[in-house]
Amino acid sequence: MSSTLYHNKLLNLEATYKQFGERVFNIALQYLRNVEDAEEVTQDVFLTVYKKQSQFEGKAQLGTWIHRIAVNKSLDFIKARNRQKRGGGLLSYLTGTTENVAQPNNDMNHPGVALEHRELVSTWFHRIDQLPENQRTAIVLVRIEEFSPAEAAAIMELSVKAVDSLLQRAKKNLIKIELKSEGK
Amino acid sequence: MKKSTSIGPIDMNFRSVNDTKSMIERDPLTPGVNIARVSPSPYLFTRIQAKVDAINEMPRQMGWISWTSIVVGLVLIIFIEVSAVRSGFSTAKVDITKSFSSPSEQLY
Repeated sequence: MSSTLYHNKLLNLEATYKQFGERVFNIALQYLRNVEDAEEVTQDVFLTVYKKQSQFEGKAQLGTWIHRIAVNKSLDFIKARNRQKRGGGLLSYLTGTTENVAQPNNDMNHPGVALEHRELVSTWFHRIDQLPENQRTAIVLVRIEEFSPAEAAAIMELSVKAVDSLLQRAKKNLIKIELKSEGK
Repeated sequence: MKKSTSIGPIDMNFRSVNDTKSMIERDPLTPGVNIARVSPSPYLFTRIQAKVDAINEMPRQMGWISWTSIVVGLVLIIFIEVSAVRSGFSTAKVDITKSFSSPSEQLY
């Protein structure tokens, strides 16, 4: 454990944020494609890190633990949003109103994508969203965030071989999804 | 004056390499264009720190609230009991002054 990150066994939150904050924000951004949502998840991640610092056993590296929390919080955020949409849909069906219904987050607000590429990347992300969670996570970590397969495997608590296998399956599934969307 | 030279017919269907290749030809695991790293808002850490401070402040506030409620509760109980004794409705007074005529009366 780095001595700058800990003072008298208490986590130095500012130093930890400086070291991992941007990466955590970018992981969340790749899942959510919305700056406000990604910032909310980042905030939640560091609050969890602060509250649960005593539970960090030091078996993994601090960064691996924080990045794992970031992945889980992002997936939880998506699930909560989807639940809200379903709940909202049911509510509007029962009450016959359209107020307070969470709208689908189709508008991509990803500042890391150039404006001229936004449509292309949006389509790609839409296909990624149709993959199972673990395949999506493997792509986000290895292909977008450029973690090494070993780092991604540590974050996902899997073997390197399993991560490679997930990427291979994701590749096949993405080809199928594209062929289906083209009506072939 | 220099005459402009023709470079041949312009391909109106020109698209970038990324667009013309299908996902099968290129790697489907990448979007084909660069996704740049983005910095979060410079105020994000201030917001996180404020939340952490609120978490740390909460047990102290809770302790203050619980001690206050205990003291107020005790004062209230003493006040009610003193008032009851003075007005002759105290349960303690009834127990002391009551005399039972028979054992069966004690049961009922």
